[in-house]
Amino acid sequence: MGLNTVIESLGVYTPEGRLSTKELVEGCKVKPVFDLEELTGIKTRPVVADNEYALDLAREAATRCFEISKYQPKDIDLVICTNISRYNGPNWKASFEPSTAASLARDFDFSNAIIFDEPNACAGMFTALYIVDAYLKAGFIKRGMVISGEALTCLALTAQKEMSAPFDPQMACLTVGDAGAAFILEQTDNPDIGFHDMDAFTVAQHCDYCIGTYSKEPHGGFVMYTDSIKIHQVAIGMTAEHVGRMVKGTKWENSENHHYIMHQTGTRAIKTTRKSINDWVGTEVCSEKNSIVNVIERGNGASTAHFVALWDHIRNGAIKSKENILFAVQSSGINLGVALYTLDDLPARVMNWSRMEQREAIKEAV
Amino acid sequence: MGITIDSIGLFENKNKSVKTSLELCRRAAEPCIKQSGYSKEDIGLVVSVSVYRDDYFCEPSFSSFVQNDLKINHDKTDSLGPKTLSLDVLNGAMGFLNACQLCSAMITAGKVKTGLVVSSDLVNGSVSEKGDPPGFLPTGAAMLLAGEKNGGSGFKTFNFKTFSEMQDACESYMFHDKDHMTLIFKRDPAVEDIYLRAISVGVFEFLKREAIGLDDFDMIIPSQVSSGFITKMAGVLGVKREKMIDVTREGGNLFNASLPAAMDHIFKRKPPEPGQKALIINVASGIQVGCAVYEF
Repeated sequence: MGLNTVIESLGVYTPEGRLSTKELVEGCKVKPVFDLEELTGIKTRPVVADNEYALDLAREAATRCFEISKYQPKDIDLVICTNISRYNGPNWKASFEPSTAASLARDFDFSNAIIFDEPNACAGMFTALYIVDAYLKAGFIKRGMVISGEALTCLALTAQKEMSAPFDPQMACLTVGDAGAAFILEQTDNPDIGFHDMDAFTVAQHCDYCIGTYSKEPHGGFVMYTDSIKIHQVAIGMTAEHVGRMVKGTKWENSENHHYIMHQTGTRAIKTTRKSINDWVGTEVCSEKNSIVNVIERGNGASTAHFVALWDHIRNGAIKSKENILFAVQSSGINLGVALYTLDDLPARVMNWSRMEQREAIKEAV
Repeated sequence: MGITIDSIGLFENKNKSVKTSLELCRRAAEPCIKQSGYSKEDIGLVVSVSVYRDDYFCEPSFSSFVQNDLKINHDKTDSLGPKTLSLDVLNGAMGFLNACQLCSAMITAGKVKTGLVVSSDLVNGSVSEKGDPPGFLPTGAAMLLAGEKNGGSGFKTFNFKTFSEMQDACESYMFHDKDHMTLIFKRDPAVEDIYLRAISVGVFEFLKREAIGLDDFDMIIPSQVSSGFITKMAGVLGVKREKMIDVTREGGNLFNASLPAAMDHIFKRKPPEPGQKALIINVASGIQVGCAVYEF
C-alpha cells in the first residue's frame, strides 16, 4: 500500500471579470428554448480580461500555490499541466509547442523537473493527481505539482454566434467559467490523512459525446459540441456504481463523515448524481448538506472545477482541517474517477494566506 | 521490477494513403498488440503523445478515441474487472519518452499491468499552414510496455532538463488569419545547433549524476531529427558515429516516432545481447533534453 499522498499546497486564481448567464443568453443569435439559469443553476461565472489567457491563469494559480507551500519551484520534481484550453493570445491563438508546462518553466525554475502537459478534458487535474500518486509510490519523485489554466468562456462567445437551434450541441459552451488552479502533492507517513483510495478509468465507447476543437466558420475561435443528455446519462449512472462500490461498507457511506465534491456542471446534475449514488449504496452517502455546490457563481471550470470548489469552500469556512472529502470525477472521454481524502492542516494555511492577502490589499488601498 | 518494451508497431505513411491521425495510429497499434504477449484486456493504460491530430481537437483526449478504435476495454458498463485509463501526454517531441516514464511509474506503483504508448502526429490539412514546414514525417508508432519480474532488463533511469532561455527557437500555434484558422510553425534557422547546445549540457549533467560514462553504453539512441544532426551529435558527445542509431528517413524528422522507430530497428537488425545498454537522448521544444538508460 505504501504511504498516502497528501495535498501539500493549493492555489486558485479566478479573474475579476464576471459574465452572467442572462447576459450570455441575451447575446445568442438563437436562444435556448429553456431557462438556462434555471436548468443549470449557474448565475454567473468568472471571465478573463481582454489580455488575459490560459497561461496567465495557470501562472497566477501556481504563484499562489507557492505562496502557501513550504517549497520553491526548484524543489518540484514533476510538473503536469492539464488545461484543455490552449488559448494563449489575440486572434484566437492556440499554442501547441512548447507545452504549457515548458512555457511556465520561463516563470518558475522548473529546469530540473520532469515537465509535460496531460490534458484529459474535465478530468485532467484528477488524472494528473492519479499520475503523480503513481510517481510518488514508485519512488520516482519526492513531490509533484499539477497546474491548470482554463480560459474557456471564449467557447461561449463562439456559441453565441453559431448556435442555430433552441437545443443546440453548443449549448454547454454557455455554462463554462474561467479559472486557474494548482496543487503540490507529496507523501505523508501519517496514515490518517491524505488519499486513502483512488481509482480512474475511461469508458471510451462514448468518446464522441463531447468534442472541443476550433471553429471552421470565418469568424474563427473555438467550439465544443456536447450531447448533454447522453453524456449525463452515462456519467451519472456509472458514477453511482463506481462511487458506490468504493464506499459501501465503509465510514464513507455516511454523509455526516465527509464532504462530497463532484464535477461542477450544474446544480441539477449534482442533485441527480447524489440521488443515484444514495440509491445504489442504499444509505445517504451524499446529502444536500455535505454536497459542495460551487457552480452557481463559478460556472463549469472544466479541469479546475474540483479544486476551485475546494478552495472556495475552505475560504468560506465550510471545509476545515482534518475533514474528509469524497471526490467524484466525470468528464468527456468518458472518464470516471473516485478518491477518498482526509485533509491535513491545509485549510488553516489557506485561511492564513487569505488573511495576509486581505491585509496587503487594505495596505495598498490606503 | 524493470519496465521493458514488450512489442513495437510502426507504420510509415510512404504513399500518403492514410489521411487521419487515428488511422495512422491504428495501423501501428494493431500489429503491436498482436505481436505482444498480452491481450487487449491486459492494457490498463493508453497514452497518446500526438500533438498534431485530427481536427486539432482539445477535448476529449485523443487517446480515448484510440482506446475506442482499438476496442481496449472500451465498453465497460461498470467499474468491475479489467479497465483502461486513457490520457494524452503533450510535450512536443518529448512526449514519447515522457510517456515511457509515466507507464513505468504506473506499472511500478501497481496501478496497471501494461501501458500502450502511441504517436501519430499528422498535419491533416483541415487548416491552412504558414511559416516553416511542419518538418516531421507522419508516422504511426506504438509501444507496449510491461513489467519484467526478474527486473534485469528495461528502462533503468530517466532524466529531463529544460532550457527555457532557448524557448523561442521552436514554436507552433494556430491563429485566426483573416477568415480561417491557420497553423504556423516557427523555427530558428539554427535550431539544430541550439538543440546540440542543450544536449551538451543536459547529457553530461545526467552522466555525472548517474556516475556513468558514454563508454558504458553499447549504443546511443538520439532523436531522429536528421542524419546530419546525428553526425553533429556524435561530435558533441565525442563518440564514434557508428555508436549512434540512425534510422532517419528522407524528408523529415521522425518527431515522436523517433524512439519506437530506433528500437524497432535495433530489435530487428540483430537482437541485442542481454545486458547491452542503450543511452536514449531526446530533444524537443522548450528547449528540453531527455535522457534514459535502457538495458536489453
